[in-house]
Amino acid sequence: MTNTAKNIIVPNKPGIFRTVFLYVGQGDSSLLVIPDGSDYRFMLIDSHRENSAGGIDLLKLLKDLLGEDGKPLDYYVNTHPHTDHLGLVKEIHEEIGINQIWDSGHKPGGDHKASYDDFAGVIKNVGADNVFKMKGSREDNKLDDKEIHLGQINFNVLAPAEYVADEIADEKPDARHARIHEHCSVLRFKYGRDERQILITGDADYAAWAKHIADYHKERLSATVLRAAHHGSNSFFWEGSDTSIDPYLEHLKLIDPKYVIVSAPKRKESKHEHPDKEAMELYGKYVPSTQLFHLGDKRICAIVDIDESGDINVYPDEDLVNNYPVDSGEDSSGEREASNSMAPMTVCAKLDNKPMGD
Amino acid sequence: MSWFANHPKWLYDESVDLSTSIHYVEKYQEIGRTLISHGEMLVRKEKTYCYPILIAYPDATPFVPPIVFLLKELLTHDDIVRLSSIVPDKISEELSSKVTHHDRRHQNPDGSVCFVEMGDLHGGHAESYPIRDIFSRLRAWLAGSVPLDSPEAELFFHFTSRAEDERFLLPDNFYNSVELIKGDFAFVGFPRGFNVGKTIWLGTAIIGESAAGITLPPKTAEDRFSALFSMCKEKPIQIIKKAQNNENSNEGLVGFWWDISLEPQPFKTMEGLAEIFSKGDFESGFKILLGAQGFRYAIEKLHPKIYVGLRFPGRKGGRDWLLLCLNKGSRPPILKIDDTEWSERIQNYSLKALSHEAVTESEFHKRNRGRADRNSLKQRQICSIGCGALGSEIVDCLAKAGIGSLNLVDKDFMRVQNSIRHILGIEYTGIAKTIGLYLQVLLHNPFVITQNFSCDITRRDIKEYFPDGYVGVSTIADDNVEAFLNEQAIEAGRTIFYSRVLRGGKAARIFRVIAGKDACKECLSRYRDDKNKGFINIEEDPDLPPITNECNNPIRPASAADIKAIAGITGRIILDWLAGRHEESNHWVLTTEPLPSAPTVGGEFQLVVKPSFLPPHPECCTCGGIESHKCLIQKKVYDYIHSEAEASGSIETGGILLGYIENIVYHVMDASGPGSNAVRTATRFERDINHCQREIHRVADELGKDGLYLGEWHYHPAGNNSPSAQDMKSLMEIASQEEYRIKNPISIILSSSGECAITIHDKNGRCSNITLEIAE
Repeated sequence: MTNTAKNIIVPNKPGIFRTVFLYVGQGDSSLLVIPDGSDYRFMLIDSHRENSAGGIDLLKLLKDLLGEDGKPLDYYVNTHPHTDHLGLVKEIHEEIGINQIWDSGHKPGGDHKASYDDFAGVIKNVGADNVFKMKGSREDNKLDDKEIHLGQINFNVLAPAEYVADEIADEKPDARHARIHEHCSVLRFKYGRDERQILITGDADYAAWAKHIADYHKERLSATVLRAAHHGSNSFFWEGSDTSIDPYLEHLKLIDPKYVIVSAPKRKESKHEHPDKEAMELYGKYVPSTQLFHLGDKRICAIVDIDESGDINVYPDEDLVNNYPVDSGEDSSGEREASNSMAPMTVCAKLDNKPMGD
Repeated sequence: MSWFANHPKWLYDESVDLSTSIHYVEKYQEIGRTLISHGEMLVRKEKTYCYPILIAYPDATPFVPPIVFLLKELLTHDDIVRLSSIVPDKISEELSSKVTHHDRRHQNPDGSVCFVEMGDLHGGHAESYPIRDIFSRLRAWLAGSVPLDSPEAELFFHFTSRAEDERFLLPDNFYNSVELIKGDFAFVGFPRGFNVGKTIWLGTAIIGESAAGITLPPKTAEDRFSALFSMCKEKPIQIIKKAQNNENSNEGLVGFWWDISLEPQPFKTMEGLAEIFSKGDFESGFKILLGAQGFRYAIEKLHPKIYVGLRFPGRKGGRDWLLLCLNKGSRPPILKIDDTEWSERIQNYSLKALSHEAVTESEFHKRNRGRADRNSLKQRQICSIGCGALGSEIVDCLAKAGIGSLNLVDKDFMRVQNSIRHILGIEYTGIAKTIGLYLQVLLHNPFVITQNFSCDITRRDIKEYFPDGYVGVSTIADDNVEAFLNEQAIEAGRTIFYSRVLRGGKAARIFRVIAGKDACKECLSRYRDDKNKGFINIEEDPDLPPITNECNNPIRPASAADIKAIAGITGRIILDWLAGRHEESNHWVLTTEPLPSAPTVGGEFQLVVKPSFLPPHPECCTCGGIESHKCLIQKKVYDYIHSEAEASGSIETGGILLGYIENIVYHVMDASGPGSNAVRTATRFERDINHCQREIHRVADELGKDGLYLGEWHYHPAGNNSPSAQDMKSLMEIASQEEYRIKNPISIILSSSGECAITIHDKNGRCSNITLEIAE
């Protein structure tokens, strides 16, 4: 038997590298479907569940996709251990299973400690042999100083640089916490004879890009599809909150994306007001509006297919959101949901004079 | 009634989806005669490609998908306004120079695309095709992804010399032209389409004179045979003229006939023939023969073959015939023709008896006697909607039973693979199924008046192909098209028998729908959903899935044996009903095995027909009368109209009612007041149109599709709460005006004492009181 998740996520022929940018509300999660001969491997990069903002019930989706067949998730990748990138990791491990973990190595505190504790527990259960630290490298397919092959695709770990990780790891918890986005993993996946690239940026901020990534990796930054950093936040372009100064754009010029995917709810739904208006305007200067996807705006996921030749096909999907809604726990039985979009008035009745009278 | 009014929610949803799609940027949306949307499909590859498209909604919406045309370039707003004013079929003509072809499967010659879902044969529900699904598929496609009783012609058989290579068929005119006593006859060779060395000759005309010696006009075969003659290369009259002039014609012959008073005894020679006329005096007999101008001419001109007929009183009443072929011998003629030479020339011919059969109405239907009464059936008309494997077999049964008229309706052409189950063979490949079946019916029963309609019923008005008085047989096996047919038939008051092969031919469902009496197709869906015990659900057999699906034509397994059995039973049920038998049943389930959902029905290797009667479902909004509806009004709305009425004193007031319809329930969610420009007197009320129109838009903004126009309310300060003649007229007009987007508007009237009465109205002026409940 098949289900919506399989229908949409699993390619119907071999050799397709599919990336599904899942809409999970104020958080992030990308599912990579990696071609491996006649089969596919599944990599989940970050995870999140949110009761509001109309995102996907990620666990339910993964159960349909993998759990139904008793298959564990091949790879779980965490760009940085913030709750909105790490939610559900324990449940995913317990209910579906995880074969391998890629970890940024950051140890958070504060509000994020609880999720990190869950993550630490999962890391322990998965076993040291199956856990890899992501360290920036100029070499392809290098993970934790080892050469790791990922089906038929290639990848670069661009961040965190090892020295940055070490430096931050030595700091006190508060300082360490403040620099987590500088310590965020950035990954680039490559596929196709006419190569296309997917750049996953986590919440990597100005400091990460300007100080560590852009210059050192400038030959490896070009990407057909950019998953916008930090839910479309200004922190990708500005060091601080002052957006009146000129933005930092060198990284975006090097990346030169054809598509930008912003994983954020509608701005009014985001407690951080993501995505930032200024950031969206800057992205809009680099890609046409039809190629800038703000997932929460229309409650969609974005799917990118790259075939062996490098032919790329990018398309929005609303079925995953519609079929795997988060159950907020509120009882809505007996209530009709008023439609939230309006038809043109031409569909409404047009009156003329109709006298009535006794 | 257009789909705008029948399916306002669908209209609303589609309109919203068109304007907010994630795959499509709508430029213009117009509703005139047709709902048109125009814009560009977005396909994101290495860059975003924009494909101009035009979407037109057919009249059969939502049972058929919208038509999507791929265009060369964007059209102007004026273009779209103009296109929205014409019928969908004309739109493809209008766009013929503007469409672009991708030269791939799934694009039709007119530039439209066909993306369809596989029909759920066992579901019993119509499947709908929302534009959002079509957009998904279109986007992926654009991105590059996919027979007297051999009337014991005893006399013939008693002739030692018989012609076995020719056979003559004699229609009614050869038997009932009793006012004629002698003359000529004409036959046309009937083309078989294959060579078996035998010719069939079909009588076309009998010509002659009366006993008074008056030549009467030719008696020709009835019109129903004309189609058979149409198979000939030459027209019968041309063939006959050629034959009369002794010109070569392989397609016709003429002969000479005489009425005689008694069935003759068999004979072997020309003298024997002549003696029939002169009781032993063959010379006198020869003279009688030569008295026939044509016969004399043929003898004079030494025709190699001469056809002669003798008509006499038949053993079973009426007339019978003996046909003979005279073949010239080798005797050399003498130029000077005297009496002796005439006699010699005649005697130079040898004769053979010819086999003939009556193709008269009574003889032809004799075999049906007792089981299918031609005399009554000839008054009945059948419209067969669907001429596929099952439909063609049912048509065959009904035509052979002697139905008076048959309308054959199908949009498909024969494919060679159809022949494995269809009544038509490979020779019909590429020909419209209706035309092939028309010919087949003609060949099996020329007494049936047949018309063919090679058309898509979703694009035709039912009255065009299914006239009043006809009984329908639907074998479409497409839930959507049948749902549309059901809706149209109910509205037009047509009776239809539906028959469908299920479980790979191991089961079938047949049901009759007389509007208002039987459960209609929609009722059955509801019974199924209710898990009603009276409805036997027939699940699909997972081991017998569809074989293929090509452009909305799912091909499902079933052998011709299964189909013929089901067709036969369907035909029998229909014939019985036409004969007034078994009217107490309207639903039949056939099975050859225990059904998963009803193990007690059916046994292994045993065909079981389980009849039952299912009345209309009480909540069916398709066939339920308007009186079956209910109204649920929000208390705040109820209070509002009362307070407005109370404040109005001795003059009338009113407004419009807004909300939504769910099944048979009208949910009144809001109501407008009269508006400041309303006309209000003690006995008349005209609402402020602009005010009420604004209210429609306001409530639609607020409630979306739950806030659409439902009807009118007003207050009778000086009278009761019954609708006046003026009220009835206005409500009837509302029901018939497409712009109101409602099929059956409701009306609430408050009496002077504040009592509410609610009525529902239709376009024919029917009005019924319905119940009103207040929702707290």
